[in-house]
Amino acid sequence: MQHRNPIKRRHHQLTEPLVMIMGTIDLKVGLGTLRIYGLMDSPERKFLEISMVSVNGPCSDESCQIIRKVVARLSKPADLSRYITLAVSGITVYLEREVFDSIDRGRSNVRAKVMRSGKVVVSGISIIT
Amino acid sequence: MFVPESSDLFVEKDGQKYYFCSQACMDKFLSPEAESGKIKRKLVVAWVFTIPIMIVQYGFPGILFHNLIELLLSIPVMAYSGSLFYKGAYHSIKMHTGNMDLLVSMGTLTAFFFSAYLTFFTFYGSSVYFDAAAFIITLILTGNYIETVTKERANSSARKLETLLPDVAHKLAGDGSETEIKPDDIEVGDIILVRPGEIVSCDGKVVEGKSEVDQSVITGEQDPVLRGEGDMVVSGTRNLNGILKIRAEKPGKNSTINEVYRLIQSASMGRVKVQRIADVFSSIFIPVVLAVAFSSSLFWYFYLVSTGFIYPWEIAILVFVSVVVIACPCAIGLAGPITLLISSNISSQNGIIVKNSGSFDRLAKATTIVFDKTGTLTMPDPVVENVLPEEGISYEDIVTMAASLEKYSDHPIAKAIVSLSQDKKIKLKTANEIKEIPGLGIMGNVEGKKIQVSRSTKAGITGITISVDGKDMGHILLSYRIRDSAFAAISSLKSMGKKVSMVTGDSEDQAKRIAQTLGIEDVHWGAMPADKSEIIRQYQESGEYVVFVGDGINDSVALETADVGISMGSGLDIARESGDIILLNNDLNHVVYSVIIGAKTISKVKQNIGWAIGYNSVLLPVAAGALVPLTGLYIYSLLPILAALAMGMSSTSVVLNSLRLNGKIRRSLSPYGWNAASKPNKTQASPAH
Repeated sequence: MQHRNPIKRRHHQLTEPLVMIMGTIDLKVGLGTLRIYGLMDSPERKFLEISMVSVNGPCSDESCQIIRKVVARLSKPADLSRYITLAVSGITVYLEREVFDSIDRGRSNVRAKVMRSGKVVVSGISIIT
Repeated sequence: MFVPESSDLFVEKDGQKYYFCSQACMDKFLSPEAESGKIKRKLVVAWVFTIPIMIVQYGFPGILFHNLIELLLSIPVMAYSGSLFYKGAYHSIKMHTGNMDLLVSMGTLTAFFFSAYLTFFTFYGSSVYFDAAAFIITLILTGNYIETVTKERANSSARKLETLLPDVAHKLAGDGSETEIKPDDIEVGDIILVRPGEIVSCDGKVVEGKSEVDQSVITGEQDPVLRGEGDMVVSGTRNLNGILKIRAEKPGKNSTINEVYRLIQSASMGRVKVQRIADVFSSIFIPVVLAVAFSSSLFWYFYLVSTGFIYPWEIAILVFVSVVVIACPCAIGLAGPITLLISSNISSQNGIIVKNSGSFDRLAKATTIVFDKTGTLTMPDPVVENVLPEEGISYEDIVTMAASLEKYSDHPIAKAIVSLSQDKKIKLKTANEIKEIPGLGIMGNVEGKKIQVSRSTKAGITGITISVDGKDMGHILLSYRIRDSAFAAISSLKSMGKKVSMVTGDSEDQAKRIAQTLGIEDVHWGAMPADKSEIIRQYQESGEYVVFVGDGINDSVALETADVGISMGSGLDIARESGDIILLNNDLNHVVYSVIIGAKTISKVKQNIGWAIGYNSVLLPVAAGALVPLTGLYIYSLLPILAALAMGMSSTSVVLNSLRLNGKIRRSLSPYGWNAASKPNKTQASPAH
């Protein structure tokens, strides 16, 4: 296969909503996806923030280091400069850049489940630094 | 186990903060040799007292004061040899966490104090378990010691780098006088004298002298390279046969050798995707083990009471001791880091520097390898292929006009033309009003004529056009020599089922010519740096896992976009290079090796994690009494000791299994030209056809 000058240029769409059915939202995040359950169950749940925090890492002999972990909550971050914002049907999802890159580079299919209590459980993501 | 960020057990080294779960872990990190010596001393004491305990217990069970003799013999083992575990357990409790030391301490102290109670407060002849307490400590210490020794072996090439720098460097003062200083005291700009046979103590530029330099320790390339005035030399390399004076540019911890060492060490801190399983497992491990230990112990106590068994307490205690001793969280934690460390060591011995060990995951999945052309598949500098003068103009005239201007430029094309004039012994003329326009060419006056040397726009010509007063006088055709290793590398990648593509900013003709010569069908031309990234993105969107091989500084965007970026490093500025992997010797066969090493590493990490989880999943139920229906309660007379033996060897077996990676990688790479003596193929060039 041979290509003339850089193959057709098009703006790379980083994120796009795919499906919104039965209270779930599917988002394309780079090369990965993010499926959110339960965010639309309640009208006051309009924001979802997914970010990284440093937590205690597993100790493997001399390497008992702090590792990065994903946390999510139903809120709007104070400092938006570190986040990529995705707005879908009145709901806004804030992904910290590192979270975005990890989903993208890891091609992860990440699930975020919003529980009735308001707690958000994120699964399927590996942090790529 | 988990380490809180508020822990006071941390050290700061090279700007990075390292946390530890215990004082023992921190001591091991700060001074592995001292820690290894300490374990050895404790181990000797443990064996010296444990052997008599075993003799008394099993050889002379009926002798007078049998229990008391065992108690006295076990005190040095518990108090001195076991102190390592108690310290760890103390820190663990202080930080409200759990670790292996806590489990070992709980097991041995329970056995010891229960036996002491029986010794002093029960009738003569009741069974005591001092042998189990002492033997558990001795066997686990033995396992720790073997693990420490094998880990040192795993890290051997990095250690070699650390000890490579000379003790003294010869600093030259302005008046030529020489003083001996420590390499750490070298400052930027110092002139350092390196005599034949000496190791270069810092990165720097040669200001005087010429010599062959053995760079194998950095690049893996066994053949020495000639270094003269203006060339860079790097720390750790050996000056072979001439005297060199170098101006220090990157001394001390900024030097190449330190950077390579740092990267190897940090490899074990990297995390591959599969370690997520280990993280989850180890985060719940200690509470689960303690729950199993207490519940199984209580179960057996009440069960045996209900059956009228006369020693229910003894069995319950032995069940508890067996469960806490057999559990091995370290094997799970070690599975990933030790493999990544060994893999990084193997790679670095051959000039493959892994900057991001997390990239092994993606390397193992690679489906498409995209090569940049200039400087990657080809040598970075062009050579003159032909000179085409217009009618009535001579070969010498064209070269004279072009070289008379180009001698004022540092551009690679200019160097190729000046080099041609030197080879042909053509005398150059004086030029003035020189003006160089980046990307277009150079112009100036030579003997009153306005001469312009610019990129050729004529179809079918890759090179430059020389014009005088606006009229074309001729063309100089240029080509880039293809690296010899490119042929073998592309053929190997294809034979492995990988798709190979080439991307270049060059013209269609040039791109197709190189691609055809190398047997690459998928080729992109006219691509600017940003376009390369876009091309990679499109491959990724079609489901490919892309490895991009390019220039570490100019192709940084593409290197970052790709799933794995492999940069052809200059061997001089690792910190500046982008990408996940850096090839120090520019041998393209190392791209093939990197892909194979990535796949083998991930496979070994999975194997280790599977083994460690399997070990604990199978043996915990055994320790809790799963085999009692088959063997009877008699099994508990041996189980605590067998548990210690299994636990002591479990981490060691993970390290030993990881060490097998070395042979596995060598066997896998040998069909692709990997030399068993770590001698990579020579990197030479041949002209493109």
